[in-house]
Amino acid sequence: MAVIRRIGAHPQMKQLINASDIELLQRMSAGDEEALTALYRRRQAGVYRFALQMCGSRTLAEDITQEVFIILIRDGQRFDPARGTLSTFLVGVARNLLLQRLRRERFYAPLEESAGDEVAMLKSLRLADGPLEDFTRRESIASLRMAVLALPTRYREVVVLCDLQEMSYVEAAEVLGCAVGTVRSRLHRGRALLIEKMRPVRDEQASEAPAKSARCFA
Amino acid sequence: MNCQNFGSIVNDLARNQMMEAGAREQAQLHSLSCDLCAARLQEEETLTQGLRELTVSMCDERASVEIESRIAVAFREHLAASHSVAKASSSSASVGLARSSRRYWSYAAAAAILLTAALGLAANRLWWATSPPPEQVAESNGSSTPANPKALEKVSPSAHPVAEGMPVPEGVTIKPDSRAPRSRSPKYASAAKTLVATKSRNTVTVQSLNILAPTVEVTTGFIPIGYSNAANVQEGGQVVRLEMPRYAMARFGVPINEERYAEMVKADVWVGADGLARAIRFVQ
Repeated sequence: MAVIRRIGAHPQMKQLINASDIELLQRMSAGDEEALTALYRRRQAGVYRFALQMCGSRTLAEDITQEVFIILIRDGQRFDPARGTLSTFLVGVARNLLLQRLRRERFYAPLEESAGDEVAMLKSLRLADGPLEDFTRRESIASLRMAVLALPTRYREVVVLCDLQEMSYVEAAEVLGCAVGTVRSRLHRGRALLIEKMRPVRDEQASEAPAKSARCFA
Repeated sequence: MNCQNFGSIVNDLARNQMMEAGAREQAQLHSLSCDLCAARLQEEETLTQGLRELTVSMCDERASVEIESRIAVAFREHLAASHSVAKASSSSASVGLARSSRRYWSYAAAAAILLTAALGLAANRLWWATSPPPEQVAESNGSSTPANPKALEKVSPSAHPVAEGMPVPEGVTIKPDSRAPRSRSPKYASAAKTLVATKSRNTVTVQSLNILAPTVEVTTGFIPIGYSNAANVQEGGQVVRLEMPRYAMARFGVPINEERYAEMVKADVWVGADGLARAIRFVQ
């Protein structure tokens, strides 16, 4: 917010903030670095979150985000406004890069970084109500996140796009380059898999909850 | 609505997606009447709630500031590289233009030379084809070029009856035309000559022969002239063509038609290096 407030004080940056993605892209292609900065600050969060939700690694998500914008700098003319928005274009590029990286690194075992990410993820969950509810909630969200990451890629990307990124079916279809019906069927199947994965956790939590509360109140 | 239809729209129902109002109402009514579908709808709504909480929990996630600075650096490098590429392409384009210009001028010069040569050759041939037969008075001691040795080999004085004591007509000297084109083959070597001859003080008919039109000619063999011998024949010389009255053939023992007594006949005269006629043959 401080950054936005600072750049908002500059009249030219204020103008850039109000400009559309296409205008910013055109100005960036003409060599305007401030347009690139404005475009990056506007779109980097969506790209980064998509990559993080898809791979679960902050380092990889940052790498993907950087590569996406470098590709935009070098091959920005590849973007066709008639085929979709710049947001979906960027997410589509991120998805392709991510799939390449995951395909390349599928034989490598995750290092401690993943555990650190998990802890950071748990810490990032906002607190609400009491500490017990927070713990239960954070635990369930973390388990849901792990369940999403455990989904097959074709279902994971649809769940991430439609449920976590809150894209419409049409936008998700643009990102994935497939039909809307395919998106719907994959989402249906992906959510069913998630429910299957989450069911034992919920049953376990349901069975353990009275004992915990009993110990707490004892 | 049955359970199968309910299952097809339960996702949209749990996610509060846009759908037909009638279908939504029927699905809700079905979930009230079917426990299994109600449990499924409950699971879907729970999942939707959990996913939304996950989304909310990650809404503050952003790439680090270092990424922005790296991207800015990459942007500046890209700009510099594109500028250098543009300069290089413009300079290479100018160099290429100069090269192409030089090449163009060399091609143009070569084409001009070829065109000039072709025009000169055509004009030369046209001049030879259309120029009237030159009538020149030959000097008595004109220079002559040596004849083709192969043509000389064809001279065979013994092949025809020797007319002893048959001299060349008096006052006749023979000189080849210096402008006569050279024949390209021994076959037409004799025809390549233009002959200028004088007989006494009168000009004998001189004809320029077109060597480019290979007309079929019937010739007699070379008939040695009286004062020649084999040694003189080997010395070399020049074959020239001339026209002479037909009655002159009788002097060499060739039969003639008396009705065409006054007509002219072509003859090839082999002239030795000393300028004297050595042999003659008649051409039809």
